[in-house]
Amino acid sequence: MRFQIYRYQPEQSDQPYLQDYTLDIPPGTVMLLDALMLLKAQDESLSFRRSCREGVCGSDAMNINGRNGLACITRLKDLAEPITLRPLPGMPVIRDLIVDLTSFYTQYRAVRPWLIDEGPEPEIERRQSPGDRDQLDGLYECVLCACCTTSCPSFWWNPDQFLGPAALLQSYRFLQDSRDQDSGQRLDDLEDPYRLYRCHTIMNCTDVCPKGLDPARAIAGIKGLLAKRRL
Amino acid sequence: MRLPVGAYASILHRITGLLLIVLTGLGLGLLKASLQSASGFDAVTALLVQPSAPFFGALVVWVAAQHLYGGLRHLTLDVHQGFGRGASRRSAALVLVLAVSTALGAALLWP
Repeated sequence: MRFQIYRYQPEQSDQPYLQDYTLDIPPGTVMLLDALMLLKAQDESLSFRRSCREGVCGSDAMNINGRNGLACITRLKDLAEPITLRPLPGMPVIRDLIVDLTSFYTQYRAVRPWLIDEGPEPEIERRQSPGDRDQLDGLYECVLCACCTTSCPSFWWNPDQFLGPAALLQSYRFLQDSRDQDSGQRLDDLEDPYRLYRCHTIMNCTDVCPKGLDPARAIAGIKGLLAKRRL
Repeated sequence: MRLPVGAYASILHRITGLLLIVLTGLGLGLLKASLQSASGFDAVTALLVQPSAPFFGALVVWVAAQHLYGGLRHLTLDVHQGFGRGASRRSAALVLVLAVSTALGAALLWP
């Protein structure tokens, strides 16, 4: 199986390049990450992130044949050869397939992705009805792999100002949580020409999400909440 | 980067929006010329019966149709319909196909 992998080793050269690899795929090698591990055994200088190898940690996000995805849940048989692997687009590359996600996490933190309730702490737990809990389905499952945000043209243009689909999905997750008591301030923070409204509903985010989530729908939900508040 | 069909629909929506501004100016210029004098009217009419007129006419109709259908798609999304990977791909493809079909129809029906 043929591969073309983006290589960038700043200690050797300022110029990135695509390196060709050929790999005899042993039986039982199903996922792209398995193949990458075998390539790493051949060439230990090849660098990429991985951890859980089952689509839960989100570390092995990369651009696979022009489309963002997680190597561990991408089947080799679904990919055309040569399999071209590049780092997530629009992010500074640290080395090979490893990118600097600082701006992604900064925007994530900016939406205050935690429950806010300044009331007295309950003795046991903050209760929630099954119906209210259902509102979080399709929102809480995000693994923060950054596939959506790094495929969003609005984020490419304004990474410092536009929150990006992943952060906005998380924002909506807490806006929808019946236990959260700070919706007003959360919406105030989002009512800005850049932070939310740079989203032009291109929907690349929904198209690439490896977990099958729909950040574009969540962003529309936030816009709906803001519209309702104005009325 | 391999863009999904929705991205092409979105890019074309923006490009056709810009083109519409230019084309509206040109259209108004032609209308003004046709209304100013009989010779102006004849000149504009002659322009519209050129052999290449259906081609350019269809191009103008495609620009308007692409922008109109793309805009309707966005309005549908604004009322929270058409989200999800499958639905967004289908609606984007439909916009592209409908716009080309409308342009071809205009070319065939060109007087």
